[in-house]
Amino acid sequence: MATPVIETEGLTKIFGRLRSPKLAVDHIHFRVEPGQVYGFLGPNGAGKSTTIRMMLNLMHASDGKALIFGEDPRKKPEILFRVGSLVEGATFYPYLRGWDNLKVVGNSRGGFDEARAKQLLQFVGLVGSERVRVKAYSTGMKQRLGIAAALLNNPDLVILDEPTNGMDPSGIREMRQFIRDLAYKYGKTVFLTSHLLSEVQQTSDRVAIINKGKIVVEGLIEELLNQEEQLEAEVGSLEQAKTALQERWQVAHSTVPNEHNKLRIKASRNDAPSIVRRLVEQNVDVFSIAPIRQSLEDYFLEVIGDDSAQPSISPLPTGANRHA
Amino acid sequence: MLNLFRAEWKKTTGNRLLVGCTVWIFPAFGCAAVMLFSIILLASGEARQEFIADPPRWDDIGVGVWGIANFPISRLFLISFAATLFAGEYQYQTLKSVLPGNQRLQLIVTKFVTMTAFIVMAFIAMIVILVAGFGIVCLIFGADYPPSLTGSSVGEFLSDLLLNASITFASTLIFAGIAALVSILTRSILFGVMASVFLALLESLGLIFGLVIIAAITRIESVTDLYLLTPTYNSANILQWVNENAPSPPIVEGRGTLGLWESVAVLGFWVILMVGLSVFSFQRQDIQ
Repeated sequence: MATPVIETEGLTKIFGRLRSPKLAVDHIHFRVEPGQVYGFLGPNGAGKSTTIRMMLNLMHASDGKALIFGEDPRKKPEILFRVGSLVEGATFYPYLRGWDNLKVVGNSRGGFDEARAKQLLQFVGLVGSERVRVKAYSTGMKQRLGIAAALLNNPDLVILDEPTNGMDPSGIREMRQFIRDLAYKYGKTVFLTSHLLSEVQQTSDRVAIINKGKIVVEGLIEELLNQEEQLEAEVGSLEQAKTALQERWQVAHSTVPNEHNKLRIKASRNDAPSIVRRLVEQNVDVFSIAPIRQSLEDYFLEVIGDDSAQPSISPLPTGANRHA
Repeated sequence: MLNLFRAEWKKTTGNRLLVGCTVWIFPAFGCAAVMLFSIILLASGEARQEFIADPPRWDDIGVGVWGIANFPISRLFLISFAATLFAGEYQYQTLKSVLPGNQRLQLIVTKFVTMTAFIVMAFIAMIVILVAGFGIVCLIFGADYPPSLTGSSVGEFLSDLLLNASITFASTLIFAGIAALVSILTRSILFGVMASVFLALLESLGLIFGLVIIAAITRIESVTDLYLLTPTYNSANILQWVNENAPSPPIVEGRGTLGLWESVAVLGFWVILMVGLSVFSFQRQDIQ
């Protein structure tokens, strides 16, 4: 069995040990195997970035350890030369040109390979901009330069923390393709965090969901999303429909915004006729009913639920315009 | 380690505003001094006559340059340079890109080495500009430029230069260490500069008055002896021992002084303490 690329054993981080200690990461265990694209998900403040920072030796673990390629980076920091990372947005020396920033990062990580840097600039679409000072770069350009910097030392493991931050839709699409290429074309292992769960669903093989410092679920995406069959029904009266069905089936509102008359029923496709019959018997209008495949976003919300660390958003007063 | 030094060099030379305003200002000051002096000599016949009658010594100019680093105003520039070198990484949040894979000790030592290299380069450039510049001025105005260049005069000059440079540098390193420590702890260039300048001024100007006042109020004269533990006193004391073979006079008549090696030990202790504390803090720190 191959050595896991990442393996955490009871990894824990407590901030402020003396005054009001805060448990940011709580004894987490997970393994990332070679060649996997591993999604690491969680709401803001769940402990994702802290975990990554401990893996990269930027933060000291309060307990437990994170092994990278079977080695503890605290004892053998040079193992991290096999890792490329982009943590919480790309940051550079603003007074240096893009090219000089790559030189600094390359030399800080074992040596600068000029030919590879040129290839990477082409790869991330920054040829021509490398002579411009980074302070003049857009967020998207910085993010692209960050990707190039992360890949400079031809790493076996690429850690991408919110890689699509600040990117436009076409950039996000390119990034999705890029992550796939990293894993399937170039054989890299990718450890990815993102708020764009549809992106994670399309790119990752395996995910872990972390909330309040604990991993609440971990597994292959296919297995997690196919655990339960569901039907979605559009009905005349949601309350009447719920009352009619909840004796036999588990029923919930749709989690999709603006779909107020849609109901999710935990039932198989074969149950659809019985459900329709029951609704019609109870004088509930049925407009449609269809089996649905749960998305990672639905699954994430179901797992995190109201226990999320994010503050809840109050409903807007009637007549107010909703701004994103 | 060499690659880390290359990276550090690039970061530092790339920050032209910082290096220009805090390091290259010293050779620029040297150029300005030579030009100003030439203008005065051109404008005033009296000054010209005095200059020819009592020409400067090139060895005094060269050795005296290191004394400039001990002026409070010069320390301000050097402290700003050190603070920016250390706190800049926090301000630009770049440690997360350059730290993984490296030992923290190597990274911080590289920063101290780079800082040292820049300061040494700046002061050597200043020495060359001032010594050569005043040589040209002497040549133009027909003045002597003693002492004559012989093996012994050059040898003596180099040994004086090395000694003064070492003592000045130890003292600079102490305040650079304070700047580094405060910058690491507060992650702020401004705090690093302010705290170090405050301590530098307190140590070189305020402490002596404070101790004298405390001694007068408490009627315990030995309180003033605490001044013997400061970097400023000990660097001055070492120079006094070497040049005059006698200690620096005490701040209160009749109080004790320190011997040469005692001062060397105190100065060494401060260097190790300040650099050591900044290394220790950086080793233990969580990088956000």
